[in-house]
Amino acid sequence: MKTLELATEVVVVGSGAGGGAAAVELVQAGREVLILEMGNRELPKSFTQREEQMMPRLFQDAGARTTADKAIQVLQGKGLGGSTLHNLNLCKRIDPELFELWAKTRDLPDIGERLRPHYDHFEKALSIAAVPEDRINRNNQILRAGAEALGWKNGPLRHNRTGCIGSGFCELGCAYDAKNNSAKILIPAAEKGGAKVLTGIRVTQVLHRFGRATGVSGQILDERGQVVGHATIRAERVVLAASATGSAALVIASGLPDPYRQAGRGLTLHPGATVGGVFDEPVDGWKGVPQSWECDELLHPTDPDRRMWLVPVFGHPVATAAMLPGLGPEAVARIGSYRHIAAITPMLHDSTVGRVDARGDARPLLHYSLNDADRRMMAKGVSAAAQVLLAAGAREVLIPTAVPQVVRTAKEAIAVAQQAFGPLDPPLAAVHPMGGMCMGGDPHTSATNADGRHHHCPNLWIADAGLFPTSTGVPPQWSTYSFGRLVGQAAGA
Amino acid sequence: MISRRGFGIGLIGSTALLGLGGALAWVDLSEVIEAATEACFPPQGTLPSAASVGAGGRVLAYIDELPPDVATQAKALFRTLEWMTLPTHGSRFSRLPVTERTNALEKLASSPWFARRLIAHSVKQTCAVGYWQSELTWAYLGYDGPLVGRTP
Ligand SMILES: Cc1cc2nc3c(=O)[nH]c(=O)nc-3n(C[C@H](O)[C@H](O)[C@H](O)COP(=O)(O)OP(=O)(O)OC[C@H]3O[C@@H](n4cnc5c(N)ncnc54)[C@H](O)[C@@H]3O)c2cc1C
Ligand code: SF4
Repeated sequence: MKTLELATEVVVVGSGAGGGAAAVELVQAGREVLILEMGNRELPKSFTQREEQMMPRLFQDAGARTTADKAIQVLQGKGLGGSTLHNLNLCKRIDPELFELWAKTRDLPDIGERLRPHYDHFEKALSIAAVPEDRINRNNQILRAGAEALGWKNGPLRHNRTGCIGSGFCELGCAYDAKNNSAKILIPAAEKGGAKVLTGIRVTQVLHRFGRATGVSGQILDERGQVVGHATIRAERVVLAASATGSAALVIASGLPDPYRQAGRGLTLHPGATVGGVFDEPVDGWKGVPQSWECDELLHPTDPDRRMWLVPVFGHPVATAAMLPGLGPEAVARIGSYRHIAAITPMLHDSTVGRVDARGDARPLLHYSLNDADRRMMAKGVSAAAQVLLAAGAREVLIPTAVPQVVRTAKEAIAVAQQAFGPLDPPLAAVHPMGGMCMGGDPHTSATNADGRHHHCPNLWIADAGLFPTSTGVPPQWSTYSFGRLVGQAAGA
Repeated sequence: MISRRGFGIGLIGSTALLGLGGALAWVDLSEVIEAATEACFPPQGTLPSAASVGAGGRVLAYIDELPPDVATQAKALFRTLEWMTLPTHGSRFSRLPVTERTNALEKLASSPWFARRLIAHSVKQTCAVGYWQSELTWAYLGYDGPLVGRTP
């Protein structure tokens, strides 16, 4: 077994949206920075666009991570760049109304104002812009047509891509290096500023003494993720950016001071179902930019009755076969309509609050099961997605409940909203874990302060999506980059 | 067709078997996975058989990439499936005719019991990885495969 012992001024654990953003600020503040990432340095030219090869390379647990009860698949990234390597590049800011709520209920005065310059910074740094009209593929046009036919609010989405050729393989990593993500923009900037990067290091402990962090330790992994050694890194400051689930698990596994048991609390997921509509004409949904249009008729940042966001979704063969409902000849016949299917995911702005715990090896364990209000909201979302698809001309819509249903009329689609949903009925997937190390002014109800600093360990910061005190209802990357920069500046001062 | 009660007994029996862990390790997992794949996605039209695309080996290769605890659960899942039809059908899962295998999985998938739905769901998800990754299945879908090295 190899051993590695190093010392640095600041160690950053994780290299995704938050870690990349924090690292850049830390080097700019003149700090000596070491970034540790459990995944590999993945080069775009090595991306094969094959699911069975890229899922193990770019996803935690090869894409098989779930909630503890196994009812919800939770997709999260690994590799230098984290989840920004394979995400779909949507960029939305958190609504000011939600910031106001956080200000009032979480004792976070001016949080929106404090984040604004960071959002503005990344708008330029990551070239965030609307997806050009000629890049809106048929799957997205169907959502747009359906929403317009129903008179529902809809509009284009903004992205962080340059030189995108519309290959449609975003979730398997961009072989054309078109994503303006942490791997392409932030990590190189941090390295240029002097940051060192070690990949293949999985941190399992934050070392601490007398209430102060003294460094981290963990496993050295080979290219395939097998443990080949042990690493200890002494540091004066520790910044955890191992994602909403990873950082909380590390804090818990390390036994850091937590008198009010706040570490791990506040987990939200934005879970979503997949609703497919079959059209007479080909949709070829896997071709082109996957998500460029939204319907936010049923979404409001703070209204408990409007917590559903409708966006197109599509998969390559394995993902599609796994998510289309049914088994046997019927399922195979449905998959045979692959070219003719358009799909929408109703994504929940969740009021359910789960909890992150740590397994023995500091891997996260996610306790989360939908509350009744969210189950009802999910039924409403599935119904709404079916209505949009039918309004856009779908011949039939597949409702992915445990006993699969096919609806053909608006009346049938509306009735779905009254159905009682349960775990795996329908199956749900989540790609936006948030919370776990929630930010707030009161140490009795939050794990970190308004600068992302741990309430009880003054030289430990969190710089990832774990800081969000509630679900955001919008894709989290732009906010995570922004929080990461805010925290990086605080930790570097 | 098997009765719901019968299948419940099967599930209890299989859970007990699962508890026995390695004692049933002699099941040919590749064979069970291919039988399950065929039940989930029985070939029609131009589709090849699960065995001819080597679905079993492909799934086992994927399982190898999982964290050890998850890999152990995935293997236990197929061992459970293999034995759970013995009390109800008098036969191991992989030895049943394909329609009976599909029916057995459908019963699990539509069960009011979460634990049973979970078995069917996990089997289908895992089998999808092994089967639909094969280029030989793509013509049926009209999927043209990776773009790298080609002009879009
Ligand atoms: C399929 C998919 C699509 C998405 N699409 C969008 C989208 O279109 N728009 C959007 O806004 N958001 C999207 N997201 C979510 C977005 O990518 C994340 O919210 C964001 O990247 C979170 O940033 P983070 O820094 O918190 O974590 P991550 O970006 O996940 O980075 C965490 C990093 O820490 C590493 N790590 C974890 N544990 C350890 C450890 N113990 N030791 C060392 N390293 C560790 C991980 O390997 C990872 O690289 C998507 C996510 C997925 C999975
Ligand atoms: S659609 Fe664009 S960003 Fe996505 S993988 Fe293709 S080229 Fe890259």
